[in-house]
Amino acid sequence: MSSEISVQQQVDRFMQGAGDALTDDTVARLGFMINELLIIADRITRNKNIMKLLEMSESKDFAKVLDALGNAVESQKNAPKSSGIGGMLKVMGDPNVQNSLRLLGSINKELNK
Amino acid sequence: MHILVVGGGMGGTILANNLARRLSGELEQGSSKITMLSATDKHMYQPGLLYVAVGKMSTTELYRDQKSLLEPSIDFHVDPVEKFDMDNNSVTTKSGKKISYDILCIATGSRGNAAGIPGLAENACQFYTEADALAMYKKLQKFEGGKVVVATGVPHKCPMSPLEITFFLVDYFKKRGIWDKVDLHYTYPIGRVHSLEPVANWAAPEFDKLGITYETLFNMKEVVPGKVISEEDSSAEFDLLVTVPPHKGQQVIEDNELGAGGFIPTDKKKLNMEGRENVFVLGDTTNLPISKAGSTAHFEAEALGENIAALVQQGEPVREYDGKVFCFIEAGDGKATYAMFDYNNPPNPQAPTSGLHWFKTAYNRMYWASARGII
Repeated sequence: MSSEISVQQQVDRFMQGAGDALTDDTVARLGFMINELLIIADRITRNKNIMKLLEMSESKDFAKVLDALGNAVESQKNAPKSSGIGGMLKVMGDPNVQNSLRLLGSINKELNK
Repeated sequence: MHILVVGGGMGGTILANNLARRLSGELEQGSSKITMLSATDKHMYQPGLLYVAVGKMSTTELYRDQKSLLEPSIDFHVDPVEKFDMDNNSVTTKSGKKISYDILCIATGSRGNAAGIPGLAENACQFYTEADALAMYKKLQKFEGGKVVVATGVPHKCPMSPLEITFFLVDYFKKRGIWDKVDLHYTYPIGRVHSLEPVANWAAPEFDKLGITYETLFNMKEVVPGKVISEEDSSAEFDLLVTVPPHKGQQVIEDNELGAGGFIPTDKKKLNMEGRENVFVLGDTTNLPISKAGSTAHFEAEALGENIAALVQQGEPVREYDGKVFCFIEAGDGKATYAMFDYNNPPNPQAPTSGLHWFKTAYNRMYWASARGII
């Protein structure tokens, strides 16, 4: 008798092993998980806003925004604390701060359209 | 175009979601609207009750919020219909609101009617409501052996349930180690053990193998403590009676005189109410001589969804319901088989397998994706 077993026998043994290892509880849990994943996938793919966000996330600008956010959070940790009217005037004089305020103003204008 | 879906069970939910997907453009533009009226804000997976009755599922697994299963574009209200005025295309709800429609879909379902047979409700276990399924499980837990009779009324919901509960009872008694103290007797109203002949031909030898005795042409007439008497003048004594009771349609269908027994006369292919071109009926609510099963409602909802969307978009329906039904049959001992059939093709159940039992076990948890119209 050959010690080699056919591919069909291997598949049969694998299925037999999988069958013996599974319990109703395991199958029920897997079924539950597949159900939730399907519903999540359905919600995501049918939600135009999420699809827009996903599309945006692939652009270079989006990566740049994420980098900028990360860098800003990091630099804020080491930034000297400035307070009072003098400090505020100094911050307001920064061209980057002025650009940021203009951007926020534009967003506000769009939201109110 | 206003589409009104009355009933938030399996059929109504799958249909409303199917329509919302197909008519997403029209709904966004506001040229169409879908409203659903239901009696409850909870959705129950009714086939799970069979499993609750024998301790294989918990009741918490049977429910989800109806709103969470519906497409956001569907206008959902818990406000059941009390009056149908089909000549004026409107309904009146319990809260007194009058709602007009262009297309009406009725999917109010059916209910057990054990009270229709004297003594049945008082003397038998059943599993068609959460309370009944739990009560049956508690009664089984206290049962220590004796004669168990399974008796079925017609028409009834879920064609395979008399067989499934019988096979599950064997499993249950074996698991408790009292199978050798149980004498299980199966009765059925027609001249074989199941209404579908190929299913009966498969099931009878399975009963023989397990030592389950059976008696056909047994239509329950009356139940007294310890004894069920048939219309055919035979009787079966029992220590425990398990019944699949006869069913009837919902009270609101009877009150509005839409169909005898609460079942609405329905065209078998177009699924419109007879004599009403803009009223459609699906699921247990129809009077069609096919299985009152979840899968029937599912396949009808898919055919109807395609047709109503085509009516809205093109003015003409595009397909007919072919009578397709797919029913799993739990055969006990961790195995299952299935019966698939339609108006032209009878079922042909094969030997049960573990794989099909797992498929059914997984589907019991995947039903919610089905209700959302995904699978």
